[in-house]
Amino acid sequence: MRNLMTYLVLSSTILFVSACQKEAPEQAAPSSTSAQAAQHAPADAVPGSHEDWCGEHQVPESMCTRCNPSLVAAFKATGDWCEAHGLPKSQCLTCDPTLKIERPPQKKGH
Amino acid sequence: MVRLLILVALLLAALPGCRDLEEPEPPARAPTAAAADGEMCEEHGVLEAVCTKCKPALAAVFKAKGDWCEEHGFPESFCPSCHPERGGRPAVDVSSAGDGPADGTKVRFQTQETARLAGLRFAKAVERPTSREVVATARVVYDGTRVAQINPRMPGVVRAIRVDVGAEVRAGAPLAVIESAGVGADQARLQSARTRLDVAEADYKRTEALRKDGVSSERDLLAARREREDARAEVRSARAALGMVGAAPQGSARYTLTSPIAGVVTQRNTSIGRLVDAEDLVFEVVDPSTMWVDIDVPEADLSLVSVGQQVSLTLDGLKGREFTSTISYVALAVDLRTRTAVARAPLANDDGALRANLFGRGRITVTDPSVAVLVPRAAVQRARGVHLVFVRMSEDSFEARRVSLGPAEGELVSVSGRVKAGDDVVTEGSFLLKTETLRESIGAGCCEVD
Repeated sequence: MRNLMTYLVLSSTILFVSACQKEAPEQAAPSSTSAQAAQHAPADAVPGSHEDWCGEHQVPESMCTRCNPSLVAAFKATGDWCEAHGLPKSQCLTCDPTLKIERPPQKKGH
Repeated sequence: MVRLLILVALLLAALPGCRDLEEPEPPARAPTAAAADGEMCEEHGVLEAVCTKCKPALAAVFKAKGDWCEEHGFPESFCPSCHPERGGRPAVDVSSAGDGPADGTKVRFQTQETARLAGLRFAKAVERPTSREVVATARVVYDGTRVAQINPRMPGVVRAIRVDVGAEVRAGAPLAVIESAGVGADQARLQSARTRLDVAEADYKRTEALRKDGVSSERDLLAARREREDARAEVRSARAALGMVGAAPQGSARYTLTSPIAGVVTQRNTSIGRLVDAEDLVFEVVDPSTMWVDIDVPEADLSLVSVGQQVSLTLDGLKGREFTSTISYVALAVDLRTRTAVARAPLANDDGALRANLFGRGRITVTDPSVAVLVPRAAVQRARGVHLVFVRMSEDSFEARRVSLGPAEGELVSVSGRVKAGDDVVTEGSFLLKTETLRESIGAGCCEVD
């Protein structure tokens, strides 16, 4: 009974939080944890820039299907999709452990 | 319990703050699950799931892949202005079917205390040698060492048939009587050889006596002896020729064709009065006490199959019965047309139920050179067409690993994927973690559990 109650409580809290994050993931994250925010790119990051980087998944934020699942269709459309692991082939380290995804260097003056 | 209620109260109190948050640049249209599965964007004339006008974030991906029409702001490959014939759809299926959580999706609790409250339970993934089955089509054939295909020993005319198809015969039992000119010739040759031998014997004795008296020379005696030995050899040869066909040394020029083994007559390809040649197959006798089962092993599984492995067989014509045996032979060549090789298993046929060309299925128990990783069934979750196992990375973080399921052993199931023996996998509570990963896939952005 205690376990059941625990699940109900946790599930309800998860639902609330996910609803919140779906509305504004970029803004909601800092309110929960600043460490989490530091892992993700700011909303105005230019694709391909140093700032465009998802620290959690170690790929450019603008290419991160785990942070933005709506990108999956674009990767599929361009033939860059690993069905087995649910990632772009160009990011699938399971299929190609030698793959190196490097963060672009910071521009001088920043 | 009181702490839980306090936790809920705090979260509920925090909710209004969340709701106040606004998207800085709301998209022109909120994507829907249906949109990803074939719905067109009526405003822009492209598939909704890849509409870069409605979802500007997609543009970065298409640009990075070099698939971009700068002029119209759509992917070049299906730009509705440049390629109207493509109907605004990419060449490949981009539907979301099977888009379960990605391999390696992380779920992290904000505190270890929250993780503890979740009541997760764990088990170690274990490693075991695998035994699996190679299943292939099988057919019953005669035991090749117990089949006698019988030709006439000498050309001739069939004068009598002693047995017909289906008759059970002993070894040496008569099958047919054949009259042969060859037999007559051999009989005549034997007769001639016997006469020659009689003469040679007498000549040798006479020459030997003369030699003792000093009348005959040693050379004459040697010549007489040679003639006697030649005559004896001819007699033996003629007798052997007649003996091989089973004909009498003299009298009728007929011989009896007999069965070399005990068994059942399965073919009779002649009749009375027919002229038969030495190459003609006139009778087939089979001993059905043992049959062979030939299993057509696919090329890909051949490396796993070897002599001595256990095999169980079910036959379409013998419902409800299962036969067991061991592999006695694996063919050295693969059939060029079917890309299979025969693995053979002998089967005792005591009750005569097995018949040639019965069709069925053979299951060869093979030992896989690899080892299997097994986890409790409760550790496996299914999410949007993929199976997931959650591996504990630290006290408060977990990683979803996509796995393929293999054979089960009681409460354990073998999995292939990035799960190793010794990994702590979540059993109780893995559903909760799955819910989190699905939350990510519907657009939440991260998998923090508060």
